[in-house]
Amino acid sequence: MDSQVTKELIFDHFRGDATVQQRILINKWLETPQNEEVFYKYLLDWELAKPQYEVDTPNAIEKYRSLTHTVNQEIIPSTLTPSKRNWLRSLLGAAACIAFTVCLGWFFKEDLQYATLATNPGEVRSFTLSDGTVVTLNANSNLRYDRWNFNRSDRKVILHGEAEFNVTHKKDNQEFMVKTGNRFNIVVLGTVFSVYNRNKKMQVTLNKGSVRIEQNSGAQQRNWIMTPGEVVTVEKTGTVDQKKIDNPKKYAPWKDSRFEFDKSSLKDIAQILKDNYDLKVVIENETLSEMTISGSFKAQDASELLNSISQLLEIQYKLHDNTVHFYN
Amino acid sequence: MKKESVNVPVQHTKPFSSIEINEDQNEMDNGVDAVKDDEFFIKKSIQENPQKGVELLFSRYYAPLCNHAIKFVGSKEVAEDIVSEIFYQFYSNKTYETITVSFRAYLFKSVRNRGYNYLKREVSRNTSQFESLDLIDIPSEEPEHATDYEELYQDFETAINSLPISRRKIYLLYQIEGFSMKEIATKLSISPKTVDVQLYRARKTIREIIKNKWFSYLLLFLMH
Repeated sequence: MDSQVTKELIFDHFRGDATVQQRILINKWLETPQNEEVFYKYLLDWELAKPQYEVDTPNAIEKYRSLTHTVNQEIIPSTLTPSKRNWLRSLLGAAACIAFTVCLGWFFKEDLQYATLATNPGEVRSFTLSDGTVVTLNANSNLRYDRWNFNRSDRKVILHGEAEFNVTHKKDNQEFMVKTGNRFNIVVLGTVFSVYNRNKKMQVTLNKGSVRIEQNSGAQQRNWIMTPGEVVTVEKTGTVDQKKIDNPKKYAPWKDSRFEFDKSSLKDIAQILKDNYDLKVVIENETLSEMTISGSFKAQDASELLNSISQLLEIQYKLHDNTVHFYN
Repeated sequence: MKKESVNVPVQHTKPFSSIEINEDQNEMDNGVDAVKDDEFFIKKSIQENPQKGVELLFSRYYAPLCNHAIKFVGSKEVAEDIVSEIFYQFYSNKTYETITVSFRAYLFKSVRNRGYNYLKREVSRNTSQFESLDLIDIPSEEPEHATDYEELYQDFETAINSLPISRRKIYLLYQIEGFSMKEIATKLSISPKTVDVQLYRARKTIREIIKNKWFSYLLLFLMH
């Protein structure tokens, strides 16, 4: 079978002359890693034989060299050995080196300063921070904190996504702060709570201890003090709602792969599928998207959840390439 | 951003710079091991001195990679940026220590993937009147089949070719050759307003063709 895929056929394909059947053949053939290597060899030959334009490689390599040069400077800043004869040159060199490092530091400021913990679609994982606080990240979430200052001058973390925090209380009563975007901070001493921060909506559910939510934008400085069993929701529009949680089960159900729905429309569920599994959702029509589900479901992965949904609503779905289609 | 020539007739000079090291292959097309082995020399020199070695790799593959990238992005400058960045990350992340495929396969794959995602972003941008649509949300991804990459850029070219002749001329002058709207207006003795309108329509057509075939789910989702 392999023998059918020749250099000529691959070139036909590059030219756009391969038939659908031939392309299926090529795709099959490409599943073998060795063949893939051959494919890229042919691709190189093709690009060399039929250039689109003249590339100025020497110029590009100069630019590239100056870029990587700064990387080296950063790694080995002590390569400069001052000698008496060349003190001026070394001085200039040192200055340039410092300038490089500063520029580079500025360039990679974020990476240098912040450490990031993250989860993939469908993955739930726990991390222990240096102060002993345990963070459980729901799927598709990330937490950043200051590499150098965390647990020293303060305890601040930045959350995108959804997480539960089990915050260690420190002897000096140092606060632990969760920042979510630029409008609200969650300030705690030692407590267990969960935070949802996606799609410009934020929700904090408190399990134990006490939490203060601070609004830090604009002229108005407002605070909300939460007591256990409460949930505070900040909508996209900025409206804040504080209430007692009606069902304690609703506290971070994702931690044991559970989904809690309470008259949730298919449209809402589409958002959950996107948040947790990075799935794109296409709903056939309005009527479908307004159908609702209530109840608690356990699902280890996206397809289990999709099965439950489609059975309950008695609708069909097709999962293809990270896109889900719901239809009748 | 200034854009320069692609796709339009080009000078056929030797595509390679003189730094090219010719340690390879007298038609070793079918031997799989030979395919990998022709990078042996570069691999060795990367082991000895990563900086020098990657520069060697750069001088060897930069031009063909740019030539490949441009088919997806339609601009010389963007193509070169993409390829340079790939090399930069390849070096600074020490990718060469971990990859199991050949350098060539890795580099071409990276170019194709980035080219694909670049085109996707271009096509989904400005699809609605709301410029501020949060497109950072669109995750990067790969097409289903390896041969889809060729199909995509061939569609891109077909879309350009489907434009009415005069509109296509304006599009190519602007997008590919990098002339300003004013320059094009003077060149063709038409009003700048006409250039503007023609460009808008050209882009709209291309976007629609590519989007409908390849990325139709994007729009559906954004409207949800």
